[in-house]
Amino acid sequence: MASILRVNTLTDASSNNSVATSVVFNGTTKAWVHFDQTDQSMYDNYNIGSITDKAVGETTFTFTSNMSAANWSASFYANTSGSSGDSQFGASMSGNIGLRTATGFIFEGYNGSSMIDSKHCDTQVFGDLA
Amino acid sequence: MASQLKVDTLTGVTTAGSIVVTGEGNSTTTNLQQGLCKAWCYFDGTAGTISFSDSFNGSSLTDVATGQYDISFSSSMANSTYPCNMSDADRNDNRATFPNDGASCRMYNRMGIDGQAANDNDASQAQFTAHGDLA
Repeated sequence: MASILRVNTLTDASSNNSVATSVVFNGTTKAWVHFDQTDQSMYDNYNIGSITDKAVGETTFTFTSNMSAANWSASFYANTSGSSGDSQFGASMSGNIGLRTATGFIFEGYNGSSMIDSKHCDTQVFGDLA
Repeated sequence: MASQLKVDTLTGVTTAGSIVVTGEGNSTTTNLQQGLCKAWCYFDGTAGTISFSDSFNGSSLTDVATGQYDISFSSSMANSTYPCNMSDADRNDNRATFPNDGASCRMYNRMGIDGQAANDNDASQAQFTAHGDLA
C-alpha cells in the first residue's frame, strides 16, 4: 500500500545521526546527466526530459520536473576523448552551463579557441524544485 | 507539529528502491534514491601511500600511476555509465574520470591547459563525486 510519511527529522534507531528532512531534500540532486555531445545520446540521466543539438559544443536540455527558478547550481565536466587515458583530455577544455531557466539549460563546451563537442559530458543540478 | 522518525533503513512500499519526495516548491516531486550522491571522497594524491581523508561508499583507493587513481566502491554501481566528477586545487590541471566498471572508477589529473605540456600530475586535494544508479 502506498503511503505518505510527514516528518521533520530522521535519526537512526539509536537516535544517532540525526538529520532534518529539509537537509536531505535540499541536498538531493534534482537532475543529472552523462551524455555524448557528438551524437546527442545520453548514457544515463535522471529528470532530463529532452536533449537537443543546438550548435557545435552546445546542447539544450529540458527537465521533466521543473526547478522553482533559474538560480539553481550545477557542475560542469567535459572530455573530448572517448576512451580512458587518451591525451585529448589534456587539451584546454572549459565551458559552462548557460541560459539556465526553471525548465532547462544549455551545456556549452569550449576548448580555448572554439566551441567543441565532447564525448563525455556530465552535469549535476542542485537547487529547489518547483 | 515537529516530528522525529527513528529508523535505520528507508525502503519504498511499491518499489523498494523508489521513494517519492515532494519538491521545495510544493508542486513537483523527485525521487530520493535517484537524487542521492552515491559516492564521494577527498584525498591527498601526493602522499606516498594514498588514503581517504574522508569518504562515503569508498572501500579503497589505488595509486595507479602519477596523477591516476582508482576508487573502489563498497556498494557497486549498477552499470559503468554513471556521471562522476573530479576536482583539485591546482587551476593549471585538467581532470577526467572514466568508470572502470560498476565497482570502481578511475580519476586522471593532468597538467595541460594554458599551453603547458600534458603530463600526469598528482593532485594534492583530490575530490570525487559519483551519481547514478546503485546495483
